[in-house]
Amino acid sequence: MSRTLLLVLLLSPFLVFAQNKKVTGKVTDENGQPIADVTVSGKGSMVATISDENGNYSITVPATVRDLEFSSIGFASQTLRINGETLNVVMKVAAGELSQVVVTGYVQQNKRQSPGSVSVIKADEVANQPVASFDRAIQGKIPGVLSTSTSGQPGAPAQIIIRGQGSINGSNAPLFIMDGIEISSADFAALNTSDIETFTVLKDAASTAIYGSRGANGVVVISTKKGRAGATRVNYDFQVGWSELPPDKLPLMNSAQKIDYEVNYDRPDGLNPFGWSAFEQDSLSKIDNRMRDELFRKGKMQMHQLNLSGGSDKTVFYASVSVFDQEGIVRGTDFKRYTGRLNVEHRFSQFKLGINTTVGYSKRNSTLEESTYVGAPLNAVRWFNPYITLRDADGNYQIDFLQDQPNPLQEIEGVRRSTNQLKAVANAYLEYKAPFLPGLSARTNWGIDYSQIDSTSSADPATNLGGQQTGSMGMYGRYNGYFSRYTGTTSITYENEVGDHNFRISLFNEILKYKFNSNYFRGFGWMGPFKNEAGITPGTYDNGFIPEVAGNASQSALLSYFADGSYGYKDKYFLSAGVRRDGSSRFGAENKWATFGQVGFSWIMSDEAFLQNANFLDELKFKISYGSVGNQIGIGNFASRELYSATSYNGQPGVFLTNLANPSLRWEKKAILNTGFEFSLFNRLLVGSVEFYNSVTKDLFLNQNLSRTSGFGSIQSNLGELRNRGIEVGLTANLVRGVNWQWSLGANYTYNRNKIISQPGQPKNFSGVVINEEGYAANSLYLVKVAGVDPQTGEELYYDINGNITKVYSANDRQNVGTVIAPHFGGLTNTLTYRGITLDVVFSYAFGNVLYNNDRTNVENPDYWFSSLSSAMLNEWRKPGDITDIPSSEYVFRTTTTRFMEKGDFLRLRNIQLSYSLPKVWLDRIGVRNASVYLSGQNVHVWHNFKGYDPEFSNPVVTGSVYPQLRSYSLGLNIGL
Amino acid sequence: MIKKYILSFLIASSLLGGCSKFIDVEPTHDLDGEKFFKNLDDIEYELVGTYARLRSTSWFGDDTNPFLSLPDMISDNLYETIYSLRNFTTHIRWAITEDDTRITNVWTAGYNVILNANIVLTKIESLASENPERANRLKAQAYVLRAMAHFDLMRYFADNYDRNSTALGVPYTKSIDKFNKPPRITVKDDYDMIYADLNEAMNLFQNMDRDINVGGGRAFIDEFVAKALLARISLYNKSYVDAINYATDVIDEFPIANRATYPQIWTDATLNEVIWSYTFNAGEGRIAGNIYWAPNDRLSFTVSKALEATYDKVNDIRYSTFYIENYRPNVTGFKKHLAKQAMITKPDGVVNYKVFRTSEMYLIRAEAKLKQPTPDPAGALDDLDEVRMARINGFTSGGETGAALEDAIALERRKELIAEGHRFFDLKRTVRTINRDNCSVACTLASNNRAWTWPIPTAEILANPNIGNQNPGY
Repeated sequence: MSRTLLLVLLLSPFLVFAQNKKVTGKVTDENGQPIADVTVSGKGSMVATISDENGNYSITVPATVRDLEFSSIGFASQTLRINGETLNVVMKVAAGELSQVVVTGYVQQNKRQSPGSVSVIKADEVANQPVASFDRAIQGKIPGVLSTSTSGQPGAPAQIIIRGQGSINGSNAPLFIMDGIEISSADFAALNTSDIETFTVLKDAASTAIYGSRGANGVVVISTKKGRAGATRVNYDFQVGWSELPPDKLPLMNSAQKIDYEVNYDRPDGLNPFGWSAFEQDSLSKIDNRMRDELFRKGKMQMHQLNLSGGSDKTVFYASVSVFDQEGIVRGTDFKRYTGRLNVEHRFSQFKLGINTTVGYSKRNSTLEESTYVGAPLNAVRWFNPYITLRDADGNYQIDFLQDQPNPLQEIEGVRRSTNQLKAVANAYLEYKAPFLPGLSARTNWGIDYSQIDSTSSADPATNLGGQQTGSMGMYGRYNGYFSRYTGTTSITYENEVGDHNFRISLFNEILKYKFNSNYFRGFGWMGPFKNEAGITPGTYDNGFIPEVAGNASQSALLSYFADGSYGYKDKYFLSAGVRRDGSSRFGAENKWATFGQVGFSWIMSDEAFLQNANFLDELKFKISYGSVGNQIGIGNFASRELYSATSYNGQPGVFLTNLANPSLRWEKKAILNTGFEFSLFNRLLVGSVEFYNSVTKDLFLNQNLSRTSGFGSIQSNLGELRNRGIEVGLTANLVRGVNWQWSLGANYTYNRNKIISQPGQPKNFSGVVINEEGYAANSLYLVKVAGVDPQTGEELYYDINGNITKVYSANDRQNVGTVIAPHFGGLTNTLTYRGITLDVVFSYAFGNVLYNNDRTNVENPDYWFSSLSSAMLNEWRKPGDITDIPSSEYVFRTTTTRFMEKGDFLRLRNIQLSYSLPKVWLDRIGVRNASVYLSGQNVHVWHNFKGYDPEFSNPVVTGSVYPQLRSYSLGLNIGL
Repeated sequence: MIKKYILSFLIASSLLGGCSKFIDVEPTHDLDGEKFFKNLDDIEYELVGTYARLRSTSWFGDDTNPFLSLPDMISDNLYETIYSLRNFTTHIRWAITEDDTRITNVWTAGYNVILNANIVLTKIESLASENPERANRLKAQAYVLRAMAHFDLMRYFADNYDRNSTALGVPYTKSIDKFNKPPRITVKDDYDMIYADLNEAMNLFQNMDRDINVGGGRAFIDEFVAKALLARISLYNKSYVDAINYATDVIDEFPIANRATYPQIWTDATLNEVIWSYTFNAGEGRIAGNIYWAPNDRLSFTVSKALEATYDKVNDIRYSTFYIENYRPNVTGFKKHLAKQAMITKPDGVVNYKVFRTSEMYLIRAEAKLKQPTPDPAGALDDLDEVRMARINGFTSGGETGAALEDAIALERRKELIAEGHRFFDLKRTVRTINRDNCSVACTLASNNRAWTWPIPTAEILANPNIGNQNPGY
């Protein structure tokens, strides 16, 4: 099919010309002051312009246009009938939140009308936060949205979950749409935060239903900045700062304590097993190897951003370039990003044509995270003996020779991982408003999200990792991955107003194709003068440097047809409904297609007669929606088929079964009920919303356990039902709204109760310490409860399944002890302004979950006496009568117990910022439009009781070598010309 | 006019994205089972794949390596050093529980090999007529692989190895139905099925299109591998006369190696006396890294001091081949599975797993001759001496008889077959007690301790209500 040909086909019949007329006027506010940047558009046409500094505008519209629409953020929109050549307008400040415009991705809706659960964050709320990716910037800002950081490594993304985990094996990530096309959440690091105008988070079925399957976990709609007509504006942002390691709450023994423990605490291997002499004990006790100082540093950060926007009545543009450079706090890690963007929009006759493009290049040097590999530098912080220095007397790197633990500095220097990513996101759209039938319009939007990864890893022969490679002489490897996703959405819409009724109906068609291919090699014998591929020694039978080579490719596709409509009566009662049919390539022939739909109702109660006397009430809106969405992400591209993969034996090619067939594998379906109130009280003193939701996922992607005599432990199936039910409250109190002083407080709170309703055939499904059990929340911990230590014998005591205390550890006494995902979470904000000085404080919090501290299982294990240990071990039981919670080292060390379970509650001071906007009077003298300076801190303090660096993890089980989250400070400057 | 425009627009847009074929996507880097298995070439790929599955880190490969190092670690042959990463503590201290991850993974890995063998045997049915002799060759190997995997599972999960024991064994799986929930069958029934498969294989070996192992290699299973397996099985289940016969067939074909070539066996420089050498190549893992991790020179386990003292350090070729004295302060190093010849100067631990060797056959025959219904102690002594003379310079007969002869054979098994996956099973099928020397914790395993037999994994019991009774003590 030739798409370009058809596009031409599309355009050709519609070049219709008509008579034009010109209208001019002035836009002022209620005080007679001119208002600039008000959008003036001809209703039913593509023509639009913007008022200038003096509030004057001039617009030329086709003769068929009868009304002009005036809109501007913060003001109530108006539509006025053209009567002659002049039309002056007085704009009134928006009475409330409900006049706001909400971009839900496909359609623009008035918030008043929208029955859905929608939260909006504007760019300036998250501007100036020096995080490398914007998903982190929204932590604590939106009710129902839990944004947890996966790690502090520069460039690493946060994980966003909207209203609880709705899937166990499927994906829980929301859909990210940027300018109408889907982008990968993992690639946010390559995009420039400052290019973003708004984030809109869609949480319920009514608002997400037009995204159908991909919107099952919520949708984050991102709009980038567009140009505006008028003089070209230039903005420059600069930021500099640093980040550092937060405090560690897992205290380890210092040298004196460790020597004491080895020499004086009895154990199966005996006292003083290394045989330190008295002299050695004394001198070793004084050594401080300063491991943390050696491995960690303050990471510096710098950011520059320049953007331009401008244009004329017909054409507007927005362009930006940025540079972001952040050092990681572990030596040898850093992240650099360069981006450029150009958004152009052009109107001509009945058409609007737009192109948004961005290109980003990022380069990241990183270390191995979340691993229990002995050679990982971050494990060295916990495991290296405190009395062994990192360098010997001659200054050479020294390993921990007592336990053959490698030297972390040598590993960081000699083991390099470097990932370069080139990312391009582009979309082009064409809109048409039919002149022959006002209210009829069409739009087509085509976009591509392309990313290319070039990642190299290398290990010097001298390092621990290098010695483990094939041939034992280091390695150099390169991975190249190419990912592209293109989306095409075409729609036709008709809307009209007849008396008290207004309605809109739209028909859509959408296609999505995702492709990736990759290749990879790893060569060995990496020695000699070259630090790249040239250093690889070709492999022969004799030298053993046989390289590894592999490649892979896959694709998937989605096809959808949907219709969406809305109806309003008297601008007080609104109804919306939609239906959608989706087909996915992932499922077997029988199950490719599924149908979804939604219906919603909203009612502006404050406009009703019975509430006219409630003066305290500015606005009250009631809304309710119900709909279904589907999910097909999180399973393999060909998960329903029997698959054989390549292998070899004795140098001969073979295949083996890697995926069991399940032809009935089908869409996971979620049904969401959402209802609530949006309100504004006491003349916008208190604005907020309360929502209740109930979301049930059926046909959950679950692994159906099989008898392992089948050769597999499980098969991917649709089984079971999961429910997320909760309440979200968001409140903003605008306490002071004076000319000089402004003060507002905001709070949001979400309680999400997650429960696995059913898991047919396998009520308990566990792996490691995590269990999914019927009747309980997903991702719970499955541990034996500990009852303390017997003071007479030093044995650890447990509670059996009936609650009785026993000395015998049995796997049958494991029970469900709590979920890892916090059911209560939210944020608090405080904004105080005096003249040009603003203080902004944001807290985020979560509580009610438990975490498994795997790090402690390594440093509280008495069998690891030859390694570094937690100072809690000094309390080990030694003689009858000792009261402690650390059992005697005589007994088998059990890790699957609540001894290692800790509460995950925390309160985080996420962001604190003090900014000063220079007064206009000064700036006018130097021809600058606006300028401000600011100081800000991120993650400044966290109140928590987790014995580690930070209690926030997206992975239920903390494994070793976790890169801590950063505490950072920065200073910045904005100038606008 | 207007309607025509609307119509052309709608047509255009639907053509732009409307074809249902758009979502028909096929995998490229994996094979769809529905479209595969069109001829015997495809079956042969799957057979090679079955061999590859033996490499699992829960089967022949380390991490766990339950048939090479683990049986020696959980008995009295190998002891942990202070350099060990303590990953096997619950096993070494006989404190295993039903939810143990290693046990669950070994169970699954064994059945995964069986699954792939069953795929060969099932899919070949309709294709055999293409070339019946070739089909026989493929089927025979699959039968042996299936039988052997079941036997190896039995060694851990069955409480008793006697030929007619009514103790519970493991389910014998022949179908590829993934929803099958089979029950445990008795050890006797397991043996019946194992023998049925092996006998069928022996028939098929007689009628093949070509030899299985060509060019002098010993990487694939042929009739001698099957016979060596039968000898081992017969010894375990006390069918001593069969053991003697099978062992003899193998010994006649593969003479024992002498002192000169013995060290080369361990660097894969020779195939003398090796009946099945399961190949490990670079990148495919290692077999004994959990004892000695060559790439980083980490010595986690060392030989028992009591056992070490029984070697004649000067004259016994095995001492210099397997051990290095004082590799660490007062700790003897272990280099039996160090590296192939080409990599011996920078050892990486990648060597083949010599599953069956003639030495084992002699020791099987010796023990069988001694314990058979009409014992032949002189014959037993001869066989034992064959081994000792082939290993120890200047050795002449030890002259043992009676109980002393039995002990001498058991000791020789320890000395010869250390870290080849035998000790724990040898103790389990004979004296059923372990007494560790130079030991401070977990020193004795009494015969009634539940740890002699692994529990059926909890995951299996939860998924398979038909599985039957758990092993005693769990």
